[in-house]
Amino acid sequence: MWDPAPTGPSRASPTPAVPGRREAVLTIPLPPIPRVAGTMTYGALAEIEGYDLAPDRTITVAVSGSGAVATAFLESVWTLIQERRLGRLRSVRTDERGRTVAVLSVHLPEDVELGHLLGSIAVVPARLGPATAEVRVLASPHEMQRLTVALEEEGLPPSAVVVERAVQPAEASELAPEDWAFLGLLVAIGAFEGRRVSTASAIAERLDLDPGYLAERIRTLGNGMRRLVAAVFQEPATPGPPSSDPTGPT
Amino acid sequence: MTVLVPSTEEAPAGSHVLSFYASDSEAAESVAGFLRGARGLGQPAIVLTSDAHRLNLYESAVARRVPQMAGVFRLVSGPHLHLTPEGLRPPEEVEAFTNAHARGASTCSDAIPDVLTRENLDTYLEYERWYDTLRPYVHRGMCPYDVTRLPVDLASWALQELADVHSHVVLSRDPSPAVQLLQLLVVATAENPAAAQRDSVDRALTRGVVQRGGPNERLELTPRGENLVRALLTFPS
Repeated sequence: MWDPAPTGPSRASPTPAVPGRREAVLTIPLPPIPRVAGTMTYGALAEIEGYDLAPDRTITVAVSGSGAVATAFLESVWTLIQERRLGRLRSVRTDERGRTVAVLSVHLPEDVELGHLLGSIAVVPARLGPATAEVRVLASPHEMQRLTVALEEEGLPPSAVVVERAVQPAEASELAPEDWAFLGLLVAIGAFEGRRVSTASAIAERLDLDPGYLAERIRTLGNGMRRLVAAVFQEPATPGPPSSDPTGPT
Repeated sequence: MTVLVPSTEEAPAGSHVLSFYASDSEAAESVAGFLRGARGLGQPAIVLTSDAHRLNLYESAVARRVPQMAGVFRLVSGPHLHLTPEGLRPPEEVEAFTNAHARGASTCSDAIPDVLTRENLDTYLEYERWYDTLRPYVHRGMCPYDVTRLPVDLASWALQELADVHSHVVLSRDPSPAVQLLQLLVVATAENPAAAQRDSVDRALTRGVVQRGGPNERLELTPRGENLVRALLTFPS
């Protein structure tokens, strides 16, 4: 069983609550994606269900879509990624809702700030269209400024920014955006389907991530989930028993 | 609107009560409470179960809490309901029992959660909708549902539809966070939630676990709320 017991310092510790964070929605233009069929237009949206940004700058992203059009759209996206050697397609599966879910990993260059920044403030799911991405973020004014500059440097200046609401520091500290994103990634790869607990090592193998890093990440996520539920029901979040193995047998 | 009652024992005569549980032992306590209520109202009772293990638990709980009702159980395999041209209808044995007790009987069949799938969910909801049109009546009917077995992506809709087609609802007391989060969806549609329950709904809204949506602005899990419930169902502690 997964034991979300508190642990010491983590390489994947959640982003500390940043005062003055607001929820905002950015519309970001995407580079042209070749149509798989000349006459096909993409009315349907795909969604980024989750992601994880590892310390070695590997970002692992789960993208889903329903129906033939979305599937064709996703195929053209990962074909483009592989052709340009931007990353690797880790897996493609059909989830219990019949959606196609693809998991990709991309190694971010050291000098690109955009991935690191988005990795800590973007809220999943993010919507992908043929020409734009709609990304929700929890960002302070300073983070928004950095993000806008980083997008412009990559030739992706946001065409619209809608600020929706202020985020309470306590709310943001229970589960940080990257924790929600990691949870989304675990769900997308089917880690919770069939009531069987996938071991950290099995998940690590599937995602080609370091098992130690992943186990730590899972513990961090479990702590955040515990704090969140306690906050909803206003109960003290009690630590679980210590455990050397965060997950049980598959 | 559906009325929350603290226990199945308190389901009044004339009720069609939805009883949530999260384990077989909780289902047994729920059945025993329902039968204790029947005893208090002077109603005869019949309980159909499709599971021998649950039958043992029912018999133990009833022996402890209301031994006078020990002979009410029938072990009947399969889904209990029978198909007619008009849709699913109650087991013939239950229909005969209520017909024979025109002054009121308490009845329960526990098989639906065992056979419920994402594909047939709507069919069983249609049955519950039809059953609820039988009210007002003098009987008590109890429908146990395992809150942990509903497909998570359909849970928002299914839980509230279930609540809508029953007169009373008894929430599971299972402390599992996933169960408690899911039941907030029912609390939000009920006529008489406690102040603390309403506050929990508000805090879940603030944290983006649930949202108001659809034409009636009903409460539903957000995508991240769904993910949270999935993880908590798998890792309950």
